[in-house]
Amino acid sequence: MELPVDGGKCPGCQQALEPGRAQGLCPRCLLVRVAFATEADGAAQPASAVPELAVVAAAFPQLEILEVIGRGGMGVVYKARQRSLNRLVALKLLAPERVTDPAFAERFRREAQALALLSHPNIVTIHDFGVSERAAGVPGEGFYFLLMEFVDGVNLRQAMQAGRFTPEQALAIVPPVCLALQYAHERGIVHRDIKPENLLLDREGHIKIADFGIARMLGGGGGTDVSAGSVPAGVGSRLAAGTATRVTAAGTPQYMAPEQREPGQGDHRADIYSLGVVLYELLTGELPGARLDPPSSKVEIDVRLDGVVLRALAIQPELRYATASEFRTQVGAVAFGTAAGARRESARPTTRLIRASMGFLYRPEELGTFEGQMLPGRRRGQWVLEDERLTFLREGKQTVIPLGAIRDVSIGDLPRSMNPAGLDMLQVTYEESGREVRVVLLVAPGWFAWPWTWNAGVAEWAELIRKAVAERTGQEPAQTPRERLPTAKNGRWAVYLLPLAIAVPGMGTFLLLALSRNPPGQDSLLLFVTSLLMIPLGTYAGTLGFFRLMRRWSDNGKSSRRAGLWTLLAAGGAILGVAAILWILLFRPSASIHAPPSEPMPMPAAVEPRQESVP
Amino acid sequence: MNAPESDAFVTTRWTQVLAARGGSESARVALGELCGAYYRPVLAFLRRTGTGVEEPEDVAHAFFAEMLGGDGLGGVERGKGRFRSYLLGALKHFVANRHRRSGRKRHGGEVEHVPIDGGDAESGERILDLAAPELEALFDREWAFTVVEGALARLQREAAESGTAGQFSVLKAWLSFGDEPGSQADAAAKLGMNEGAVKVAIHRLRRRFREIVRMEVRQTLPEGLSVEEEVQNLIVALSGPAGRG
Repeated sequence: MELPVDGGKCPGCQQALEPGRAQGLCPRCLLVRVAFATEADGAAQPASAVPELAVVAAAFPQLEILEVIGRGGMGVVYKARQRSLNRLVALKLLAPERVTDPAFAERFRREAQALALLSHPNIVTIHDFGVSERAAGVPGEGFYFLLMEFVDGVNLRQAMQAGRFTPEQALAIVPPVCLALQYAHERGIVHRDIKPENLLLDREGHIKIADFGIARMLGGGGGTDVSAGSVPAGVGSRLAAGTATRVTAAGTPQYMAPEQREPGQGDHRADIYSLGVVLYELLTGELPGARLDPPSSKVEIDVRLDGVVLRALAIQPELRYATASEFRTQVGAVAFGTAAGARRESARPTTRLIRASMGFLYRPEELGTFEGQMLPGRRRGQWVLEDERLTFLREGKQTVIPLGAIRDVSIGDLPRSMNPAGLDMLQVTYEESGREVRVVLLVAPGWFAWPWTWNAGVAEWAELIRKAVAERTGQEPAQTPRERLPTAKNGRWAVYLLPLAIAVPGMGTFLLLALSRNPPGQDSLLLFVTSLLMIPLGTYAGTLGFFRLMRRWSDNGKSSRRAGLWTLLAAGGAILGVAAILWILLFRPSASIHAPPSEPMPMPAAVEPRQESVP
Repeated sequence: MNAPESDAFVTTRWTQVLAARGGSESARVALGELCGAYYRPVLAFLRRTGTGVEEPEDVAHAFFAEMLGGDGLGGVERGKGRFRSYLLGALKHFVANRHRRSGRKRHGGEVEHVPIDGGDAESGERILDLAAPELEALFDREWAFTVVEGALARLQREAAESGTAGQFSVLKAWLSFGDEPGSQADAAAKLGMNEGAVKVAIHRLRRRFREIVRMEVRQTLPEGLSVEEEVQNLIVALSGPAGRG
């Protein structure tokens, strides 16, 4: 055959060709083949993994094998024309090296029959399946094959590479996939390998799921393959985001639910997890990393999506959406809200997110420790209250408290070190596998808050949680009085440290200055620096301690009287420190009794009248 | 195929150049090879912008000499950007400097003349808009051609080495064009092979072409950028109208 070019147009893309260049070929079509020929990096695959076209063509005389359109760990897919019906089909050959199990033939038949029953507009239809005739000159058995509907388009991976999805586009992908998953799940069929490569977009933009149940077909025999390879052993440690798509026997690690790493584990909720990973990737362009950052921290999207995505990605299957339909509804709610531009809570068809705020989570016993008291800011995270659960997100971990499990919501006192002013905390008691678990929920309105702002925030969250629990369960959670909360028994660190923290530097400065024989110029500098430190600290402790004391006494409080005394002591120490500094500041020039200066100091005029005001 | 890339198909990575920031001798050699391979886009760019009395080839050589001689890599930020973008940026800079210098020489002295109403009537020279999208498109297009032609040349060379040059010249059509039924049978008859063998040969040819292009494209990318994305960019560059200057 001659080159199909005569200085004219490329028969493929109809673009004018430039004579004398690229050996008369169409450079664009050449590159298109490079970009779209395979789903994985074709160059990296061992050549033996793909049967030659000629071999395949010989094994399937009823088909005209046109080209390889994809390959992965599961096998190879060819575009072919079915001669009898003159229609395009996709021929999937299961990778021969996977077919090692003697029971495979039976399992393959059973699964394929179940798959063939799936008839859904968003699932790639199976036309036929079986084992091919053994072709002449081909070693071994024939090919296990599936003959499927040919989808003219690209897979989601290719679409993602061609350009970023807008959040709206990303959200539009999920509902049809959920519909199809729900349809299959209701028939007891789990996909087990949802990933962008298996979600096909045809030219009209319809999405279709390919490769239903193939992972199970292949994975059942060689279950140990699942945890081989690059998958970290620890369940719960998320996989580091990678660029290469590594395929194992039953699933693709980056998209696999944590429970799928155990051979034979994982039900339909594994599909929900995998779809969650896909959605995360569509929204952010990244895979969820070791730290599970909420998508809104990476791209500008509706924060309500965080809750939707993170719930699908919950490590424990029980915490994910129970069904694909539920996932779809939630995504639909956000997508609808986004499209309508409705941001107000009242305008939402379904309220998901009630409140989210930066904050901290503690176990009550941690609040008694030194670290818990002195370094409260180290465990910053995000509290998210939704209409069915309360979640704390921090560095890829999440603590999820289903609202139905909450038994008690009470306001108590923070330990005194954090809290000379009497800051409140929220303690939530819930049931988890038959045990009562208590957590302390701190919600920070910002980097700095007045005690009353802080406490108002705590009260608001307490109210919101109570209301949400009541709506969910029809019953208000219990409330324990402030004094009876276990956390009211504070650790003693603060009690000792706070007065010490104020008294020691105060006394030290005083002694240092009193005994100092330095010339006054250096003293003044030292004084200036220490008073900068001491006066605010002293004022803070003193004033806020006073507030606290007031509240204590007005509240009632036999048990808190001692605490009040300690606070008073702390405040007293602070006031003493400040007084000491003021005293030195004012009297130092004239009270140089320890070391008379070599020459008389000029007395600042402004000091004299002030002396009278000092006791 | 007279482009210089046919002999010096790059084996050094842009990443190595970036890592050394031109500091080492090997980085300089690597940069030289990369520049040599992408001589053509530079030449096309210079032809379009005009080089006055000098031959575009001479100016291109001057450009490369400046890149490789001085601190051509001084402006490279570690680990950033494609070689394609870097080369284009450097080229624009070079052309702008050159025009400024020649302008001064012609007008005498250091006074810079600002041409009024769109052109310098005296010299008949256009004002250069170096940021014009057509210029970048031209450069990228030539770049894509260079990649494709380089890969084809290498396939051809490999075919010649293995004694299948005749087969290559017949089968290369299937690298870019579709598979009309029957046409492979013609090719098989022409080559005296059976149809199955032709199919296999075409499949291998495509796979090899793909490997070469990917390898080549990867050479010009920093860590972290995907080959697929860059190939997409090249496809886009080739998709516009021919518009050669």
